[in-house]
Amino acid sequence: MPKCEKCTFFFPIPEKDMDFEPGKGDCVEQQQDTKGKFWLSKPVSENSEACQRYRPRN
Amino acid sequence: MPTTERTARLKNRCRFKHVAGGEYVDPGVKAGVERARLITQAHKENIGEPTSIIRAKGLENILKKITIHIQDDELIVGANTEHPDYFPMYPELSYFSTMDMVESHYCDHKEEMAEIAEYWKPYTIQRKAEKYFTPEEIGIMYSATTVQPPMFVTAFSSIVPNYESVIEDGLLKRIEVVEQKIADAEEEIRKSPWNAPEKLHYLDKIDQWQAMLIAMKAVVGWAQRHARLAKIIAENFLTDPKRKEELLEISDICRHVPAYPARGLKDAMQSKWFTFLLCHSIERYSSGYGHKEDKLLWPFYKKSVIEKNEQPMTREEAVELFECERLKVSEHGSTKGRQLREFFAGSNDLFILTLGGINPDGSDASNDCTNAILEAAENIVTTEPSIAFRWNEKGNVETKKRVFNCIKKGFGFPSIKNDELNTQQLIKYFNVPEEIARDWALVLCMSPGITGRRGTQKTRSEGGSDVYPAKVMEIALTNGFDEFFTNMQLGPETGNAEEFTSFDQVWEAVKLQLRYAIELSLRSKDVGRIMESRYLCCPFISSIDDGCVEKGLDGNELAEVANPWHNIIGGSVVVVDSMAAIKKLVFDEKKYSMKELMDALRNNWEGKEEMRLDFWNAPKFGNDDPYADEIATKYYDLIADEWKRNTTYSGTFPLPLAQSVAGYIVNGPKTNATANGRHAGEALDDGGISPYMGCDKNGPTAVLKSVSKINGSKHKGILLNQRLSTVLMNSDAGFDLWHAYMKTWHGLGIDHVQFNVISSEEMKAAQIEPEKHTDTLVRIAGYSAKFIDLARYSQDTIIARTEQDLAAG
Amino acid sequence: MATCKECKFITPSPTGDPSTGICLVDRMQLAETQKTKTAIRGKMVQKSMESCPKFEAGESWKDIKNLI
Repeated sequence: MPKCEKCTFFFPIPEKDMDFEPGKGDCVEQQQDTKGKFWLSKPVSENSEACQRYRPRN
Repeated sequence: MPTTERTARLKNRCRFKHVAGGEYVDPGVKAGVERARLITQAHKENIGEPTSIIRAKGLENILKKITIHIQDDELIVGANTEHPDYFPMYPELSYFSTMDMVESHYCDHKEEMAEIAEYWKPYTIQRKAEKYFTPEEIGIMYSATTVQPPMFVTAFSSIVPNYESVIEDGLLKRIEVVEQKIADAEEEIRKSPWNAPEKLHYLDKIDQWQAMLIAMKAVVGWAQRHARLAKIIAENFLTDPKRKEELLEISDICRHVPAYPARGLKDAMQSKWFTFLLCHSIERYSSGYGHKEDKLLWPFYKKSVIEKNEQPMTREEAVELFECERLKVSEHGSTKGRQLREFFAGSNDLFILTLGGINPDGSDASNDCTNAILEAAENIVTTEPSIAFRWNEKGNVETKKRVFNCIKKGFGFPSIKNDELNTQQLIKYFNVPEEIARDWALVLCMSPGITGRRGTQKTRSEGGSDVYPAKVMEIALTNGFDEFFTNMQLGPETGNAEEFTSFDQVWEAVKLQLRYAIELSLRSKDVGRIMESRYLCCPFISSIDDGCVEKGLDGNELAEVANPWHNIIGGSVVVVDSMAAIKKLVFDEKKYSMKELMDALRNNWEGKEEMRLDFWNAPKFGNDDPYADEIATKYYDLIADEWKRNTTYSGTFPLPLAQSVAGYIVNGPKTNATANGRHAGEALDDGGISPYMGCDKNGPTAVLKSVSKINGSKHKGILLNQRLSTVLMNSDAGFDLWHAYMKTWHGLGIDHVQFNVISSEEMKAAQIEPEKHTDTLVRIAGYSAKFIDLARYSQDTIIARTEQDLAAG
Repeated sequence: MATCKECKFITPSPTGDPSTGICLVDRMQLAETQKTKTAIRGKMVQKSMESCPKFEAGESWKDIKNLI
């Protein structure tokens, strides 16, 4: 099963940031509804099992 | 018209969160579960820690883990929930409020939220406070008939955040200050010799300061999350170079504020927005948008727009930013308890910013930033945020013309407060130094409070809550028993009106019922205040107040500047007119007996139309009629005197504030027929001193003269609604006529006035074809709403207001 | 037998107390002298009460225009 770490939508948190934790990253998702586009970000661990949105990073 | 294509697009797709009849109008609106889930998780993990630390770790958990989002086109970023269509939930406040949401169609996570609500039940401030009241007292308060239910069950609060300290200092500097406080305290408690009375208080303070540190660091981290998201979107999801550039600038701004002092207007606006979200909606829920925006932002407006040396921008770009702010407020999901959703019919929440007045040095405070904010309001046409304008004799005419332009377009705002009167009151009653008093802003709709770096209002248990006078008078005639709505004993046994033989007995019964309602309401606020300071510490809110940092105290506990006030909501003029009719027809002319009157009221005037018309045509307030006005004077003095008997948490007596929001609508169906000739269930008077609908027949000046007989300095505010002719306001002479009217109003020393400028024809047309009137705004009382979003019952109360002809005088 | 809880004229209590509600079924048209058109005689009820003859199944929030 793939891990979040390898996903295009996983972005590791820089060490200088207040919420930095080793292995933690931002999972960013683009959504669109009748009122327009927006982007969501939630924290995930690189070792978490990837979700259905998983897209391997090139 | 919106100033730019961006704000036109943003308005077109705005995710409005306003309510009507207690329900959210937009079908997409949902209750977000993440805040509730995360604060519960942190609570379970940290039980046993001091409350301030538990609360700080709750906030930290939310800010670290909640899903954040940025929408297309936005220039100001950040929200209080995981999705732009949602509003958050606060299970730590009130069990009933949470369950109301859980049972509603807004909640998609019913099982999880019900479990969360049950977990919190013993910890809520509702359960903590209820035990200090008898079941009968709880029954009275929760029925919302003579008094507003207490904050510990409605979860309603209000606050004026210390925006200045965040924007001027930045949080990293404040973190250093707090760290030094802890270091100093640690040193003090180790000094020789040991002295317990002098040292032990540091233990609680160290906990409070530690909690502030946790909160502030979490906030900086949360802003950095937004900075990262903006950059990630720019670099990974977009191709449009202009939007990419904007997002990279947003990213830079969120890296910079609120961690550091704001550099220019863009920083200041973003820092203000983050602070607003945290204080009003994330750490806990509090209503309001209380700040003096033109004063707060003026230094940054100057740097960016006029001098162009920090974050340079054109004036049009600044107006666009203010339009973005209005739309951001419009789609901010506010979570009010049931009663308040009904009380703010047609609105999202009470978002009211303040402009105008004078500076601490006495000079005119209206500047080009004031004008740009008004211009944005005029262009974008949204009901929220509402605007209060401090009318001072020194105010420049150009700004007053912009105020007029908004009013004549029918927005219902700015509402206008008498600057000199309200400044003097802060000095005289609350001992506020004059230079601080001159920076006041409205806390919510009507009540001035100080702004700045310390001492601002932190909770509604300081100022707020309601007494409902029409219902109080009703039960004063029925021995304290409510025969009409609840079938409960709502007040002391003060006798049945059938047996009253003098007008003084009527007064005495009203006074004693009012006294009971006032004291019950004040006690519930102060008990709530204690529970807030014990169990609902707000470390972030405290960390941005210089006084709380200096003293190591929570903002709920510290009452550095007393500002107690208490609303008397909708129905004051029903009482005045009813008393006038009773005096004239029962005791002066002896045309009817009290028994006949009580029979008629109990039967809703059925079969007594002639008698009802006698009471309907008795002297009415608002006509410069000495008979009715003398009773009004006595009534408003009585209110002030009755509140003055009490001393509240902050050590002084509260001032009454007569107003209504939509309480005059909601409380109509709870109130039986009244002696002013009103039917059972008919709406009450729509303000704090607005003549009853259709009863002011002698023109606008007569209204002002009646109102001016009340000693406004004894009251925190008295709301006057007036409706003006659209034809006249839009004529060439419109401004001059209105300006002359305003000078008369100001010269008479009246506290407040706000206007509806809309014709009955337009409103009736909107009732028939609502889809053609989507931008038709009206003033309710204290806030504005889209006419088409009101229930028919509410709409009719706006149409019913007398349209005054300024030219007639 | 249906209870008030299932009736479309019952709105939630002012506090959100799950056991009580406000009944808004009783309406009257007002006299010509009055500037408003309608009066609504509200009543606080226990939601578990047996419904009255004016009962109509439904949920009040579905028609905001008929609220207050």
